[in-house]
Amino acid sequence: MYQLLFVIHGMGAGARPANDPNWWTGTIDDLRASAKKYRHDKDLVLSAPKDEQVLVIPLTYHQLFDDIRSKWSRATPNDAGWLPLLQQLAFHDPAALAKLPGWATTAGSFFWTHVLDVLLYRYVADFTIPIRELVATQIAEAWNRADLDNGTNTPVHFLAHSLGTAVLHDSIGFLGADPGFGPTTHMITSIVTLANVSWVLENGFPAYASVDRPITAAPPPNGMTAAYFSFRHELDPIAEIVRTFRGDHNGWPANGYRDEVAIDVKDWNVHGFTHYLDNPIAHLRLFERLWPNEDWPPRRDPAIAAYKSAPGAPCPAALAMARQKLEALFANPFPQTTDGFIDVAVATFRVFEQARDACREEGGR
Amino acid sequence: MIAGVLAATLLTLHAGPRRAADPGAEWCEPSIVYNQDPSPNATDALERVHPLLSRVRWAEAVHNEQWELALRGLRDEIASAFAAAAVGPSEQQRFFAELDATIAAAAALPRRSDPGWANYLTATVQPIRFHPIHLVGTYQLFRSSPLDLSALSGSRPREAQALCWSAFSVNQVLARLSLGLQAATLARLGRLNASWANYRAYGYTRQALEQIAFRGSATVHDTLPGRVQWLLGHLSVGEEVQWRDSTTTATSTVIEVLGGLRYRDDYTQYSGVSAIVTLPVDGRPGFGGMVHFVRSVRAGAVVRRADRKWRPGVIMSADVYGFLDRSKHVVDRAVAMTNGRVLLGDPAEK
Repeated sequence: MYQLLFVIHGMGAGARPANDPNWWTGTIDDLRASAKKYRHDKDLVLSAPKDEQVLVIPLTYHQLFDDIRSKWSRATPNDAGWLPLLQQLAFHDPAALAKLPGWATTAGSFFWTHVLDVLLYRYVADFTIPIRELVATQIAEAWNRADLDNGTNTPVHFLAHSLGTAVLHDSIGFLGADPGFGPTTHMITSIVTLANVSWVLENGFPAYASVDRPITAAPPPNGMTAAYFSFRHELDPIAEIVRTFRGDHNGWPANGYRDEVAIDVKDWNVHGFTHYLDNPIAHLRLFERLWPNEDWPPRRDPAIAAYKSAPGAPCPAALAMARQKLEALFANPFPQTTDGFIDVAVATFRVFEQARDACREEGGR
Repeated sequence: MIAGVLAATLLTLHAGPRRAADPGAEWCEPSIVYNQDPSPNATDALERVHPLLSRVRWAEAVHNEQWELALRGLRDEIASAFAAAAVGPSEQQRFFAELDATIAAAAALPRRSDPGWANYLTATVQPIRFHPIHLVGTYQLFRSSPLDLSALSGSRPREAQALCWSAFSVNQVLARLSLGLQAATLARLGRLNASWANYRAYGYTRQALEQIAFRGSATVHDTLPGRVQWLLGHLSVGEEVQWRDSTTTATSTVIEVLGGLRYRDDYTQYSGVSAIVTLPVDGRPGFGGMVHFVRSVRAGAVVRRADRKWRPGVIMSADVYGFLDRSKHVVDRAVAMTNGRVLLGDPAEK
């Protein structure tokens, strides 16, 4: 028997170099590097899984955002002309539509590569619906194949980051409503979320009462997830300021839900997928679910100590600046609304852009 | 009995390190149990309910979809395993209550061709009910009346082993039964994705005014694009041909003042009608209607006041925003082809 690990990306996954088009390359490399310490790196495979291995399935939806960016590129040579084209789309929230010019100005280059993905997914049904159906299909096809190969229910795990947490939540909600993959026929062994935004981006599937909730969480009909984990960083405004995901505050019991807050800063992009995943508090939770016959608790403290002492990105001044500016964001009052969340994301990316430039000046990336 | 205990112990050793993060993993974790290598010659009642052994014994019944037969047979074997492992009466009672309810449900299972089959399977049989649940730090069996297997594993490991292996044995039969549901889901998802892809590739552009006027026509509760698309002030350009002089054409702005399109099931084609106003570069406005016969093929009739008379004409239109949805080259070629047909296609008018 092999297991399935679905990995889903967040915003900005389409902004990649031409020679490395697959968004998952760095993520899976990082995951394998962490797993190597426990001799499990070779157990994570992207194809042809053998018994006892974990088949990693990257869930990809950024191509729908890339398509429209590509069309706009053909219509107007630079992204300065994209705003009117964006405003023509069917935004169902007039408040968000009105704020678009300000967001585009404030977020800088990250607006068109990252924030746009969130806007299209959250506000334009012509993106929301096909994306959740596309991701649901990717899940269903791999799950069905694995169940056939294994001859029984396959242990299934999900690892989601940022916007991917909302997309995954909606996709499981959509898929779980179908009798073929619902809570009476299937079980999700684990969901591990990093910078979970599925509450603030909630759109059609209630964040805490949909089928991806823990099996032990009320109300009936039952959820389908055995264990749900949420990790956020104390300096990640995107995960922390507006409608922070808290299953424990919404009736999810401790035997089905745990969350934890990361505090170490190793990169200017504290919101980054790999910045979360490199932290042992996150990846050890996943590993103990993937390989539960091993004794993980004694490994936890040494791993955390080693991570804390690791140097991080080679631009300490930039990291210090990022820390200071992100802390300042937490002092600002932001409305607890979805467009308030976009305000936060835009302000965060402005800090990231400055920190990235400062890091490059110091010789980092 | 001693041989059985020995065999079970060896099986546990084979599974990997003895100490597990969560007690009960060695019996209740599918990625461990299903990667074990039990002896096919096992005679011990407990070892015989290992799911990889019971699967072989009941493979034919499952293959022939004799679900009740397989479940009843498993029930007898599980009763023997429970006796061998001395499973407590309370745990046995809860397990067999679930199993007997499942057998009764399987006995009344409608034929697969019955429209109520899927609903019955999910609502009454509930195929996942026997799958052990790996909660945070513990394993549990059953949802409605939970059995804490981790607690049992600490003090009565053979009972936990018997319960989990038996549960897996039943579960794999039910999993096979529910596989029939997945094919229908995959087919449905395939249709939905194809429809969206077709809609993006071939759909008639929705322009700014239409986006604003019909905002929210699609909601997150939909699964498909809207079958009906309303047109309001839809701008395009067209070639207008005078009825009595088909060699003379004039480029006009075409405004589809109000109209509607209806998409076919797979969203590769649409058809519809609209009321139009045409505005030639030099001339008076024309008024009329346009028919969208199929994708990219639309034509209309207009009348224009000239020389104190209403003169009829024919209009062919290209979607000026079509480049957003498909290559402009394709649009231009389609327009050129339709123009050619109008200009050259009816000798009687010449």
